[in-house]
Amino acid sequence: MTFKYIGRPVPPQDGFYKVTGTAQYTLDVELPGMLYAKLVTSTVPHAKIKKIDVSKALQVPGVVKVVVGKDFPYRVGMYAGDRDLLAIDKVRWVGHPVAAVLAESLEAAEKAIDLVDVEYEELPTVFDPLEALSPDAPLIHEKMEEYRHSPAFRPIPGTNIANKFTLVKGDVEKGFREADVIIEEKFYIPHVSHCFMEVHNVVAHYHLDGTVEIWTSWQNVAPIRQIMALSLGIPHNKIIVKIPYVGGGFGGKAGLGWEALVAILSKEAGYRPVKLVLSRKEQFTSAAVREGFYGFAKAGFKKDGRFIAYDVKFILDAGAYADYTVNVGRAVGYSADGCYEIPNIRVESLTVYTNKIPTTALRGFGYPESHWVLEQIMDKAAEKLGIDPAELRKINLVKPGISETCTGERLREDAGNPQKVLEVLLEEIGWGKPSEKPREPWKIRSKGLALFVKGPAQPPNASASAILKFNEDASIDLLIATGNFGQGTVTALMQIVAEEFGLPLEKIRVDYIRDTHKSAYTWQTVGSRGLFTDGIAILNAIEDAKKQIFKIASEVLRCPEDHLELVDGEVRVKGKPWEKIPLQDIVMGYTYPNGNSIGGPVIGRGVFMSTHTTYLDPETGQGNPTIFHTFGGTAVEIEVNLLTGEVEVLKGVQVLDLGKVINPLLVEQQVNGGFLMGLSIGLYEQIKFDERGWVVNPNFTNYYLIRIKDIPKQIIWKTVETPQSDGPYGARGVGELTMIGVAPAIANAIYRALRVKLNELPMSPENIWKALREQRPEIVDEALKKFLEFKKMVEVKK
Amino acid sequence: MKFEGKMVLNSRREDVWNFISEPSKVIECVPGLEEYSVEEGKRVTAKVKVSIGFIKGTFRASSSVVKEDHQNYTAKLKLSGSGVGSGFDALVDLKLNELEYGTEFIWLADVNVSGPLGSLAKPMLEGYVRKIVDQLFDCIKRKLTNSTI
Repeated sequence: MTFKYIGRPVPPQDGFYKVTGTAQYTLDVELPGMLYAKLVTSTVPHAKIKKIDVSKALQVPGVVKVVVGKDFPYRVGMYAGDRDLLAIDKVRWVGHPVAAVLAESLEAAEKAIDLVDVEYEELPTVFDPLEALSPDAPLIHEKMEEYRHSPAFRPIPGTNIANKFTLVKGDVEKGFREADVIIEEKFYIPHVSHCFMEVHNVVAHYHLDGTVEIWTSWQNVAPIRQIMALSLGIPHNKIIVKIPYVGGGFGGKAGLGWEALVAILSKEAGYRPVKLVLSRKEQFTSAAVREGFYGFAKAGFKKDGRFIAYDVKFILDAGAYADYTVNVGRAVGYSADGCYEIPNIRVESLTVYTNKIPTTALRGFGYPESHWVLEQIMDKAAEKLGIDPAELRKINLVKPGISETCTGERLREDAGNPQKVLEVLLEEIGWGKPSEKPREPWKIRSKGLALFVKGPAQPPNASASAILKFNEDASIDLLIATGNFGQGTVTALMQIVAEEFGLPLEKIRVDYIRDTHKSAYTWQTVGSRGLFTDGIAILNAIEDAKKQIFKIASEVLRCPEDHLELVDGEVRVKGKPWEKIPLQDIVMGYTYPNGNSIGGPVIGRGVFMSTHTTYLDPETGQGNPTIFHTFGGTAVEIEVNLLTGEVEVLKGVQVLDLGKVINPLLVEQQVNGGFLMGLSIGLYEQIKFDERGWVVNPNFTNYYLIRIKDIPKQIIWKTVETPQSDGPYGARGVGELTMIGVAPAIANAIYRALRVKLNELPMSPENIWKALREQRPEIVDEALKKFLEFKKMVEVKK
Repeated sequence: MKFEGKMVLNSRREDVWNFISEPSKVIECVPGLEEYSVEEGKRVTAKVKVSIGFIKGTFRASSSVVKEDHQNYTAKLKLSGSGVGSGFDALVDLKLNELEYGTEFIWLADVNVSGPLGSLAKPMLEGYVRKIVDQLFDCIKRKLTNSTI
């Protein structure tokens, strides 16, 4: 089937507004009478608040009010419901907001926060999640049982466990008894920041009539309204959330934000609008970041390569508040088996409170963590078994239509083709062909790979909707709530509408400001679900609109509805293209020459609701957690400098089974972005804490991010298209998964070449050099010898 | 981190003691001082400008007297503060020894520095502390000399 828009590299349709500077962000929102808020944050990691003296701050000219947590003791949240707006009785991390200053100018607010005196009574601290699990550990949340949490999670009051996820399938002990080779490894991933360009910022206006208007740099409108309604008791229709353009999200703008706090501040300020903008430092120290992670894995294999037993424990360092991270803990748990069929598996995933920064989602949502563990286990097992790593993967790959995942979900036949993904991956990276020798003999080259699978981590009833309104000229206003924060999904959705009506893309209009009162509803734009869920809702809205159009046209053309078709903006009788009516003559109702009219304005509505997903059994983790699975693989060719520990990625390959590529340009941008983000987190990124829980690198000078020089010379991507019958044109999601395989593929490449284990991220030059020195000092010595010989040779030549 | 130092002041021990017992006098000698207030019980809060390597900004700090022993000329101070994404707290022991021609001022500080500032190498911090202490004592010396004249 040939398409006019589907599969075409249409540039992102919001690009015009961005490059012309006309796109409006929340930062641009200025309202009459608006006040500026700044936060006073805790300087101790765990303490009772004895006294807060705001008297000096109030004397600063321009300061209107200083509010403290006791003024509004709400608990807010989506999943764990554990968060205060400002610290109420005690602080739980360095950076915990304790008070907020409201002033006529930002300068006055900044000056005043230094003058708020907080007296603390320090409490014992715990920074390591493993120590936080000890019965003697200080308790960070004493009243966990009072928190309003989602039924999908299991907090354990009286401990620091915010959620306990367990999964059991088969008989793990029996599996290990039958195994010929057993691998046991420990893994670690540090906290990282999302590093989006636009920091968190919110404007809120609490009106006298009880209506709250919010403008925010966030990924989704609906959950903000839901959180505020449930936590603050404001009726849903009194909360209007607007999201203009957003400068990046990566999951860090998906969970609980600052909206409820700023709304309350607006009310406290006498119903004046209030703006809160975090500094980059506050973004690192007071806003939620990606959690720290430990993985303890034991894997059993038969001699022939069959993966028969897997016992894995994940410990997530959630920091002081775990509202969204409890769901990451759940996702890391049920994705433990990756792309492989493992008959006996046991998973325990604990989301644990510590006195560190609160945590939240980041691109991949637990899958990068589970795959960091599993994909390295595969290579270690391959070495022990004497089987090629690619071959070992081939032996164990799931078979859609036959295999069950670890949650007991039988994979549908059209779930994807992981075997084909692996084949293409091997071909593109030249697996089995030796790399060229590097010019410098103290460097080595190697290839590595990792496979992955990803589905959206969402509640089973996470729905979406779309409304499609025709205008007089048959142009369309498409009302959707799909988040638009740089990923380009909206353009792909517009392509679907243009394709279905045969209209030029210019005739489709999407308002880039999301608004709970004006947009349709979608649960959230996260988990690479937007194209799939909102795409289906749009297709259903299109079908609804088409029914209305064909009904009118059938009367006008005197032809049964099923004999009609829509081609190039016209309704035609099939096989008689000369019998037709242009769409603009129908979409507001048809008027006969005598003035009689039929029909009316055409408005299509459509929804998406998953019918096969379920909650997971709280003890065994069995059930259907996700609406699709996208299979993929990453392969890299790298060069390692054995003297410095530096890694250069020479070539990166990503192969994805996307079902159907709606827009190859957008996929390429996702592949490039995801690969680089995976590379940055894999090689460099780490929030560092000192022994008192302070972040020591809360800026881009000390927090190393990928630079231009680190970008691989070549990143290529290929798609395998196994259409999913209920996806839009067969498509599945792509956004997050492009970063999952990067770090394990690099670690595997290093291990293949050097037999040096790098189970901890980041694989920075320092950490690689240290690992080389500890595990294979002879390699470094040999490299140094080669370097000196080379230097001598060059000098002799001179 | 522990820092310590000694300084000889050409003033009588009693004069030195009286001077350092007056927080409003000592605080004015703190380099980079922008503003301060003295409260009940000799508690001082101050805003001080700091510049160590690439870290520049202002600190909001406070000090209070934990113990004061005039008979033995010893005192213990507690200092704490935060700013530029960093924090510190310190316990400082002071002792004055009488010399033939002046007073020996001995101090020992046990300092916890957190955040980016704490991540600086100790020699760098020591260099900064040394500079600050030198400036502080120079000022104290000057003021003591002026007051005796």
